[in-house]
Amino acid sequence: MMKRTLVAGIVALCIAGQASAAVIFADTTGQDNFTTANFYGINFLSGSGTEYIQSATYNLLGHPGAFFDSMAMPAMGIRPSQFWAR
Amino acid sequence: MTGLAAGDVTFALLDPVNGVPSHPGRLQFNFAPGSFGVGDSIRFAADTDYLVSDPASGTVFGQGSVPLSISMYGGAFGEANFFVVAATWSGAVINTAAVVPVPVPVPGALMLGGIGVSLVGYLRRRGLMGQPLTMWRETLWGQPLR
Repeated sequence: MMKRTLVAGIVALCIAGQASAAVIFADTTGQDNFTTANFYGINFLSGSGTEYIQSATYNLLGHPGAFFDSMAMPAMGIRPSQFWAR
Repeated sequence: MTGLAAGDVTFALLDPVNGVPSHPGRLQFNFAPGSFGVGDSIRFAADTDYLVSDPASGTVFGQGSVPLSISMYGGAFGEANFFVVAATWSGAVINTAAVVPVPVPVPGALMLGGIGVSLVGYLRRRGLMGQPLTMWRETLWGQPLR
């Protein structure tokens, strides 16, 4: 029983050590984020090929009072109505 | 925009600043399962206010070390801060990895496991499993515990 538990623990550690990793590069590019349509980018550079991004979250909370006040994805025709019409 | 369709992307406006719903402190993109894979990319527009400077160039996110977090289907997670790459350009490199519950290196775990198995086997052979310490002392060193 003890041996079985020990072996199970070691196998679990080996599996954890083999955890896969993905690399994503994000950028912000342009003179002014109010007027630049493609200012922000997220690029999935490398991974196992079976991994998929579920969500990406930009966080301005470290800057008191800072916020996003408009957002759009012109290339996709996305302009969320609840969030300002660019 | 590569590899995704408009229907693959939804948004969440989180942590409204001063209670204004259209002024989120965090902006989250959610992607449909199986849509945002290796080689895919998105680009979008968003204005910011009160972040380092206004108007905000691409450098501002790096100057402000703004964090971006990525969650993967399957539970892996990564986060990194933007850094300034060049004039009007910032970047962030996010490496995601599954959460490792116990930070013990595999060789170390194997060694510890081996020692444990050997010790249990030895004690069993000597009939010492479940015996009091006085018996251990007598058996191992041939003299009673004082």
